[in-house]
Amino acid sequence: MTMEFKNVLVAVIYLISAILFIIGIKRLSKPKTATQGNQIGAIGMLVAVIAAFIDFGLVIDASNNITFATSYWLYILVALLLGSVVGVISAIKVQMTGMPQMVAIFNGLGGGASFLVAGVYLIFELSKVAGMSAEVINTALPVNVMVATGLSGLIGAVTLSGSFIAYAKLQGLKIIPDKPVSFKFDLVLKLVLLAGLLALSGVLVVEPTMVNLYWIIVAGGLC
Amino acid sequence: MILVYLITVFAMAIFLGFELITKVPATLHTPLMSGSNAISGITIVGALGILLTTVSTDDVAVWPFILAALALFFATVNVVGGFVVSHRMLAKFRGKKS
Repeated sequence: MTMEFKNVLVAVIYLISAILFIIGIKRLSKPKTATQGNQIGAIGMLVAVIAAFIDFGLVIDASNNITFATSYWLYILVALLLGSVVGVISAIKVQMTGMPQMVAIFNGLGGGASFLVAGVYLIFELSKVAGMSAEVINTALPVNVMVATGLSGLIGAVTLSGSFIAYAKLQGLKIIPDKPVSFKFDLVLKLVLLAGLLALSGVLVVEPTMVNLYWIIVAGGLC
Repeated sequence: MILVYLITVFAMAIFLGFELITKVPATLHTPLMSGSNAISGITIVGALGILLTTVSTDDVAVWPFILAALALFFATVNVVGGFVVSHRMLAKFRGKKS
């Protein structure tokens, strides 16, 4: 298997997974096929994870020898296994009336994962090019990557805090007031915060080395 | 140029998502939300990506590896829990009908 063949193979598998997601959602939207749609979505995810393992886990050198990219398989499998066990147990244990809260937590965790992925990626790409010229840095972290990174951080953080507030409200926890908190100029404050965070993201796109900005964006998004 | 391609995919996805979820009966709103939330856990691929390549090959600090493993854990909970919860909701609907 050549590297080129692997890349094509992986791209095709990702495509299959995307098609499975689309069919899954389509079937989820009709009562008769909804259960099947959910299962198709789950299969799509399994296919995507397999693709990711081939994509990132296998390295093929010039003489077509296949080697594993990492020696940390155990940790990765443990994280996958623990996540699956926690996911299944919490999904089975939850009462029917508690389901919206559960979904809110799942959604929040997804958002958290999203900004962690983008943040760690940024840290590592930067550590590779540390101390090199701006040109090298900008080639390693081009505009499209930085736009995606900034947006992942911002949207992920908003998802995490928003979902946990939604959870607290659904659960009827006293720490969050039932009525929306509003005060004079609260909309103005929100808009200023949003504009500020978008501006910071813009700066990050131009200057990827300012990794601290990323965490400021995440913290701002959490507000 | 890649950015433009990515925005193209993004724009198409917006229309696709809109088309897919219009005219959905109200009873299916919750499982649909839950199921599509599980699909949004596709960030699991990103977590696997950084864990399998960047984080693992470079001889660097431990804490980014821990953060990445935490991300993989969160994403897996999101994906697996999301699909199982949706399945339970849908099983309930089916039980009511028959």
